[in-house]
Parts: sequence; structure tokens; C-alpha cells
Amino acid sequence: MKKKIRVYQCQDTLEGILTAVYDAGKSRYGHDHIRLQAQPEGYHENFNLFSEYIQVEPDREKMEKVLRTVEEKISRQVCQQIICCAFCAQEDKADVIYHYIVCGFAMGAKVVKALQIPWVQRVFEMNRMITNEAHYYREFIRFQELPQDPPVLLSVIEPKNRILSFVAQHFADRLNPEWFIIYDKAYQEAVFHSPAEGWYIRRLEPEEGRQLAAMEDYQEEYVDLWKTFFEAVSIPERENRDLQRNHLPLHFRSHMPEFGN
Amino acid sequence: MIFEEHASLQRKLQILSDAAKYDVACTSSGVSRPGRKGELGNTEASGICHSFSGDGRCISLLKILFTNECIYNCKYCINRVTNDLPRATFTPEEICELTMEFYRRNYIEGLFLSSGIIQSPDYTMELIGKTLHDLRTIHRFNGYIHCKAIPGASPELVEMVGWYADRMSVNLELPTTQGLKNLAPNKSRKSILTPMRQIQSGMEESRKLLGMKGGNRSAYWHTSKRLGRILPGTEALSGSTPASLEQREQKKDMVSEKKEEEELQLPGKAQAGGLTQWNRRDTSRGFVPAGQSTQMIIGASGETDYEIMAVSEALYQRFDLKRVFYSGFINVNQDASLQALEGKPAKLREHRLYQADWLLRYYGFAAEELLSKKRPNFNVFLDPKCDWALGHMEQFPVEINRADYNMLLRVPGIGVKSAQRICAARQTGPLDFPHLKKMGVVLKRAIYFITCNGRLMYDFLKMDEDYITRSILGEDQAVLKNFGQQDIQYRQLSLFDDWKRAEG
Ligand code: SF4
Repeated sequence: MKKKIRVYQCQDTLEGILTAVYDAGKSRYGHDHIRLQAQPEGYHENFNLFSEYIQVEPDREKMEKVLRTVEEKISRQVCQQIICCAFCAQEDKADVIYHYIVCGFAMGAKVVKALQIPWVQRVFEMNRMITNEAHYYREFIRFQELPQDPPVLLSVIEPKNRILSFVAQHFADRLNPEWFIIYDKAYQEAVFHSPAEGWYIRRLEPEEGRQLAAMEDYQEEYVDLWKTFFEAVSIPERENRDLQRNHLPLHFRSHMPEFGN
Repeated sequence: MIFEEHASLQRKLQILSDAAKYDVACTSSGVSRPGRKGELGNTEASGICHSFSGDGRCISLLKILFTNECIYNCKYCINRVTNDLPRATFTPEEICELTMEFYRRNYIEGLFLSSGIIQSPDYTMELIGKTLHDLRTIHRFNGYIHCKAIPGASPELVEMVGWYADRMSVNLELPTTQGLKNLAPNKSRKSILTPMRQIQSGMEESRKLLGMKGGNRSAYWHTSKRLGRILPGTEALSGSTPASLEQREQKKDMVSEKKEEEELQLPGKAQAGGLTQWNRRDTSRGFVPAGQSTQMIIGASGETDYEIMAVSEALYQRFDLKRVFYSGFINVNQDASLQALEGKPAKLREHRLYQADWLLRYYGFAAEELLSKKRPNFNVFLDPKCDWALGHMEQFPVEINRADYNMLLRVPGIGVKSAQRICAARQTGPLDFPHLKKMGVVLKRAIYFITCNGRLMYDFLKMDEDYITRSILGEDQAVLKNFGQQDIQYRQLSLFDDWKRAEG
């Protein structure tokens, strides 16, 4: 009889996924017959009669063990890639992480170069997705000043992947004399930064999210100045809206004042 | 009162960014400087765009003129003295405020300050210098600053600005001396090259004394180093040009190479040790650490692509420039004596020049490989690399699993990143066609020029110049469409080979 596929279902967090990696690895069930599935909370569809399902409870210790082992036995870079994948909004990410680690144990640090292997390709793609989107947000995040004492800069974003932790350090470094908040409306979390204490990220209560979203209005005088500049600097003889859209996809624009009415 | 004031700031901004819009060098790259406690801003080596204007160009810096008043009368320029248009001049304070407030909101990566010439070059340069000084020392701005050196300004002022700016540029304006004489009668080749050389020497000195912090090398320099080439520019700086190099250059029998030498030669040697303000300035950023760039106007004075590329190459070699920018001429003054190639064709030509420039800086091509006196213009329907490859079919196909890095770079459809990935991946096992796509290779372009494990991707592919040209152009209709060329069939290719004829 054909061996049943065994599916480890876990929470869609780094902790959840790496706990599943740990359990799956320890099971010795055989890599070819193991699948991992990261699922948002309360999500229990996708069952298949011919598979066996195991629910995994996130366990901090197991996560740390996996990270440590990967760093020691494979490389630091692989460790970072795995973390990156876990923040990516891709359904197969848990499975990819698991099998990538398996390849890594077999090949060592050079696994990162082996783009011939589909699992490695997927890791590469997911890392690129995160890097690209994070880069977009380094470009296109807009702050407005909330009239408080001291003034606080606020930005609202709605990313596809969970990129907040990949942009926080960038802004903390360049805006180090400022108080600022970047609110991720899609994942309901925010970065808080103050000049003296640095930054942290935390999940927001729904009410907090609503409050922050309501403050986004771009009514400042500098918005008008910025729009003036934005319009004036374009060369009318060379208008090219397609090119503009290629570089700056429409979905970013709802939080960019230069594209407001 | 307050409203009055702001209304006027808005109006000035409108006039002075409108006047700066034709400048093409709006990048914020070339230096990576981390944030500093209590200062606003940092810089990234690759630069960051913050928006894209309606013409599709990147907005990275607050690109403005200090003033659009000007005592000169350059024919191609909207701000020339004889034009009747609204004029405005910022105060240093206003520029500082705009820069700081825009930067905090992540609108911009920094400031790009250019200017018309008000009263005299020195007077103008001094105002610019004051602005930069205030921005760095009073407002503690640590972001990116690109600033023009005004031809004819005194070396002290140029140096002062260089200590505050990240990048400086002096516009070459026109590719040839004759063009400059005709169109910018108040400027001379010498007044343009002198500050360029001064900045080059200053950077060299700053690098020597400050190391990495003194500034990065240009892509052209790195590529030349990888290929083991000697750059005349750096030799000249150390005070001696090796005889062999001189001989080699004399041997070159190219007319335009000679011309270019005359054109870009400065009387006298560049002086290292020319920086005089080490004690008076904050030297922690280095001197012009992001290097210098220049731009020239294309299509106003009838140069061929070959002349233009030869000038660019000479600038990279002799003046250690980071970038040369090409600005397709727009006849803003409707001047009848300037024949402008307008619209889509001008854009396409500019695009080809940028691609070729890229080939010089990153791919190790020499200008004379891409063009010659006999064939002085790019084929606008093919990118220059593809065009080159088609003329050198004897070097293809290239075996992906064995070809060295430099050869991979010459394959159409393979870029710097994909070439690096190929070299890395083949160490872990042999590569085949499906793998290449994942590495960023543009297969539909590359398949004509490569084999994997001795095989072409499809048996029916022919290693034949005409066949490949036709296939590639057939596929490229979509690309051409972007440039408004959709109705031109490949069969017309030969007609359009030469830009001169296409223009007529
Ligand atoms: S000096 Fe500059 S601003 Fe003045 S006319 Fe010439 S190009 Fe224009």
C-alpha cells in the first residue's frame, strides 16, 4: 500500500512553522511523505481523505533549537532566508522551509546557490518578494506630522507580505531624531520609534488600529508644497503614464498624498 | 501674513522646480552613510526613488534651481537672459526648510541644487555654498545632496561645496566643443573641465587620506580593474603617464579618438594635494564621496552616437566620472536654428545611449566595439548588446556550463546578476535551460546565443545573423510599441539602420 502523506498543520508564524519543522524532522516519517501547512488562526479546511493530519502547537523552544541548528550546521545566511520566507504571504511557505532545511543538511552552505533545485528556487523567489516589497515601502512610505508635542510622524501601509520588520530599521536609522509610527493595516501591527528608546513592533488591538487609520488625512501645508513640486517636475512633452505605473503600481498610491485628489 | 509668505514659497517652488525639470541626473546613489545620532537622514549606495512623475521618471531628490535668473544666454535653455518669463530666487533658509520637511515625510532622498547664474559665477556659487553649509551644520541634515559646480566659479568656492555635497556635477552641456561654441557662447570647454578636474583631484586625495569614507570607486573603474585595464585618468593624476600607454593611444588610428583627445584635454597636469580646507570643514563625510557626474544634451547639435560614446568613454577614463547622463534635446525656446528630433524617436535614441553607457560601465565593452566611424549610429531597433552579438556570431554559441564570467556578460539576455548566479549555481551541478529562467536570464533573447551541455534549446534554431535578427525583431514588437514604433516592420530595418537617414 502507498504510504499516506502526513500533513503538519501549524500557526502562520515563524514560531508555528519552525515548531512544525522540528516535529516533522523528529518524526523520521520520511521527507517525501511530509507536507507542512501554515494556516491563519481558526482556519481548518483543506482536508484530504488520503492524508493524515497533525496539529502543531507553537513552541518557542523548538523554534530556537531549529534556528540554532540551521545556523550551526548550514549557515547564517540560510537561517536568515528561512526567517524571511516565514514572513511571506505564500501558501506553500511552511513546506518550502522544511524541505529547504532538508536540502541544506545534505548540501551545507552551498545550498543557497543551487537554483536548479525547485525548493531552493522557491526560497529564492520568496526572499525576492520580501526584499522587493520592503524596498518599495522604503521608497513609497509617506509620513504626515501629527500635531502633538513632540510631533509624531505617522504612516499607514497595506503590504501584501508582512514586511514591517524589514523596513523598521531603515527608518529608525534615518529618522533617528524623530518619533514615528508605521501602521500596517493589513497585518494589524505597528512600529513605534522614539529617539531615545529605538523601535519595537507590536500587534494592535482593533480599536487602536481604527484610531490610527482615522488620523491619516494629509491636510498639512507641506503636502500642498509636495504636490506642487510633484506636478512641476514632470516634463509634459514626455508624459508616460504607463511607465509611471510600471514603476509605481496603483495599489501603493492610496497612501501617497501626491496621488490624492 | 503667514499665508502670504507660504503662498510665495509655493510659487517659488513651482517656478524653480519647473525650471529644473529638464535636468536628468536625479539619482541619489554612490554613497552609503549610516544615520548619525541627532542628525536627520542617511544615504544608501544604490540610491532610493521616492515617487515617479507623470513622465515616468524617478523622483529621488528635491530637484530645484536656486534661481532661474541668469546672465547667460545658452540657446537651448529656457532660463536664458533673453527669455521673458517669471523669475524667482530662493533664500538659503527656504531651501533648508523644504529639504528638511520633505525628507522627514519620506518624500525625498535629499536635495539636488542647480542654478542659473545670478550676478556672477562666484556670487551664485557662494549662495549655493551657504545653503549647503546651513543644511549640514545648522539643520544637521545627513541625507543626500547633489550640487552643481558653476563653470567659472573660483576653486575655493567649488572646494567648499565639495565638503558638504555628496555628489557634484558640472554639465558638459554639448558633446563637442563646436556645439558648445554655437549654443552656449558664454561657456567654454575649459571653464567646464577645470572644476571637473578639480573635483576629481579632490576626490582622489580624500580617498587616499580617508579610505572608504573618502568615497567609492565608479562602476567603470571596477569593471576596468576586473578586466585589467589601465585608466589614463588615474595615471595622469599620479603625475606620470607610462610610455606604453601613450604609444598605445597614438597607435589608435581613429580620427574621432584624436578629436576627443583634443576636446577633453586640459592644459597642464591635474594636481593632487589641491584640497586646502581640511582644517576648516567637517571632513567626516569625505570630499564629494558619491563622486561626480555630468550630462550632455543629445540631438541639438548633430553629433553621431559614436562621437557621443567616445566622449563618454573618455570622461569615464580621464575624469573618473560616476555617471554620464544623456538628455534628449527638447526645443523649449522653439529656436529655429536648432533642429530637434522630437518625441518618440528622440526618446528611443536616448534609451539606446543609456543602454550603451551601461555596457561601457558594467559589461566591459569599449565604445569602439559598439560603433565605428563607418557605422556611427546605433540601430534603434535592437539594443546595442544584441546588435554587437549579431555582428560577432563567430563568438557564439557560448556554453553556459563553461564560459567565463566576462563572456557570459556579453550574451544578450544575460545581465550582471544572472551571470553571477550562473557562475555560483554551476559549482553545485550542471545547468540546463529551465534553470536559467529562474536565474533571471531573458531566455527568449539568450536562446540564440547559448548552449547548455552542448545543446541548443531548440534544434530548429539557426546560428545565422539574418535569421536571429528577424526572430528577435518579431518578438520585439511589444517593446517597440512602448516607444510608439508599432507600425514599423522589421523589413524596413535596413532603411533605418542609420539615424541620419531616419531623421530625414
Ligand atoms: S548658464 Fe545655465 S541657466 Fe543660464 S542660460 Fe546657460 S544653461 Fe541656462
